[in-house]
Amino acid sequence: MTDLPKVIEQRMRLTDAAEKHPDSSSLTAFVERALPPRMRVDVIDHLSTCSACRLVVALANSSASRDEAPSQVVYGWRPLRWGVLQWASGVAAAAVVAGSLFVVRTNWVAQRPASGNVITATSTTPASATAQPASQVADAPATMAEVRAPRSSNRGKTRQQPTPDDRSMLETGTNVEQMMQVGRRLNPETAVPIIPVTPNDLPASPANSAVLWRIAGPGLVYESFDGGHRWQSVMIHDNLVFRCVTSIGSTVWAGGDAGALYKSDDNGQHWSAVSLFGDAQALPTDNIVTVEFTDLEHGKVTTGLGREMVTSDGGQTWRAQ
Amino acid sequence: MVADNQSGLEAPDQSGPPQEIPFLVGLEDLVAKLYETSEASVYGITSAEFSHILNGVLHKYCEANGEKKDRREVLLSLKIGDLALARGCAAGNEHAWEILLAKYRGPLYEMAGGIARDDVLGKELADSLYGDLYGITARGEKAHSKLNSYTGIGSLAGWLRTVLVQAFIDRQRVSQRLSSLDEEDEEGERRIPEVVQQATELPTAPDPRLGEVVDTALATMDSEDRFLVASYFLDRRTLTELKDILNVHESTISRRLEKITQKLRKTVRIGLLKKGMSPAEVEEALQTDVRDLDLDVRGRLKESSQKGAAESFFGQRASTNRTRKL
Repeated sequence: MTDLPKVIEQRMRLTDAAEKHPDSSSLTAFVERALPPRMRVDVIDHLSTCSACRLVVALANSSASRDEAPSQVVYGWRPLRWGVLQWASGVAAAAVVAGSLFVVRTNWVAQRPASGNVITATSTTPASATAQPASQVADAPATMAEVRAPRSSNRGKTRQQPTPDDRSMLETGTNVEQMMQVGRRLNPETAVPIIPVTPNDLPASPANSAVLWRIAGPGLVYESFDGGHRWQSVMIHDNLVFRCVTSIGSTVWAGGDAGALYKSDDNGQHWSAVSLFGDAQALPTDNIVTVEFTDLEHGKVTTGLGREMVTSDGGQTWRAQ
Repeated sequence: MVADNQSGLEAPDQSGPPQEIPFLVGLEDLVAKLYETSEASVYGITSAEFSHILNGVLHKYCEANGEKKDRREVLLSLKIGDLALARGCAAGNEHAWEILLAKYRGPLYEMAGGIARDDVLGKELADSLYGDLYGITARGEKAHSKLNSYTGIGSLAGWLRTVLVQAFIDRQRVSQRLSSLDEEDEEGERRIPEVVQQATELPTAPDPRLGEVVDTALATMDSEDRFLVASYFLDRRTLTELKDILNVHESTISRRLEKITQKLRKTVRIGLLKKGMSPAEVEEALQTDVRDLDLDVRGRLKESSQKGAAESFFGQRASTNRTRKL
């Protein structure tokens, strides 16, 4: 590293006379890289001349890094012997073969023309969905399709509160295509978190405080209230295949085939169809494969043909990118 | 709108004309959404109170005649749930306090212990902070809760950490100042810190051109570049620490520092040449001892007190005498 002349260092120290310091919240957001760009520039500008705030940022950052670092116990390290490596490579190869066989078998089960609930699942999807490659339609284990909730014709209507009988709870399975963590689940009647908060329960882990979302099976949306141990299907539309789901706060977005895009503002209790264009005639016919929102207002959907639509007003209007 | 007694918040006066919320004009829909998302109602905060909280936040971070999109950007960047919780606690809402204590009590003590690197001192720090959060002074008097100063920019956990760090630094400064005054040498004379001694020496051979050129070069530097140089050369931060702060790879920081330093040298050299110095004089000037410069005693004293806390915390690091030439 090239030396910095002492004279420059000295002058930097002398000009270190910032009077008005950023508040603790701004310094925190700087450490967490959560400052809006304009404010970040201001904070950096201040930090460049204020050693006191630089010290606060450095200590807060180092403390945060320590807190976030996973606790690791190092018992010492020994180089692996060649024999161990040989065994390990053999086991790995066997695992790959077994995994491949499982995938092939799963696809074969899904494509069988007339056997059980799997066929029921695919037959209720529109033609565009059934024309998809089998790997997209039946990438969930058979058990996942078998316990799916009964479908009803309630397009765009309020989703009923599930009862213990009609809730189709799923054990944590494979094929997690998309999983998002959103805010705490609220009981709509009392507006109080339904998860009892006790000192022993918190700090909250995803297992007791978050709703998780994912797409699984033949294009169904699932939610989990217990950190992903058990899943229940969410009935958004009875004739659509969904391919992506995302959430921010209590707002959930789900996109699927034939340009289907649905939004819920209340953690999945009520859903409404969202048009990517004001004119229904101009709806895209290709499938929505990704939906991403950086905040409540700004989001982007991508279709299977690579078309991208963005919104900056929470989905009220969309424009091609 | 009726004030929620439980929340204890000062409700806007509803008897007169509606109070203006200038920073939220045109953002009412977003504010309504944020109110819902924040669960502020759970902590007894009414939507009117919530609007006033957000207005206060925007008043702090945005210009009165600024653009709407800037205000929207700030609102969207807020940790809105944390803000509602903090303000609910500040207003004395019991449910908010239950949540806050359940969520942060344990981590706060751990954080404090980690910052102080001493469990006892850490506990003292955390207890003291709790007093500030409750809004109780050391003498048991009711005061303004410190949680009122949390604005939602950055997480509440991070804010608590930052406040702990600031309290720790203040405490270190006080203890160092006291110990410096108490420490006297054998002859009964008070020891003056080395830096202060240097600062009180009068300049011997000031060259106004040198200081002027260097100041100009520093003033034209990019803020982030100057932050990097100051952190690395003045504060002795490591590349790893800078990587964590800026989220940039160490090698990138290293290359950037090299580039900035070379550019700075070049700028100063050219500036001095333009001021009429010969190349030999320029080289000599760049090797000038700092004491030959025009010194700002007040600035140096301020710097020495700020460095006190840093050196006490990073004492071990400073004592390693790294060969980072300046």
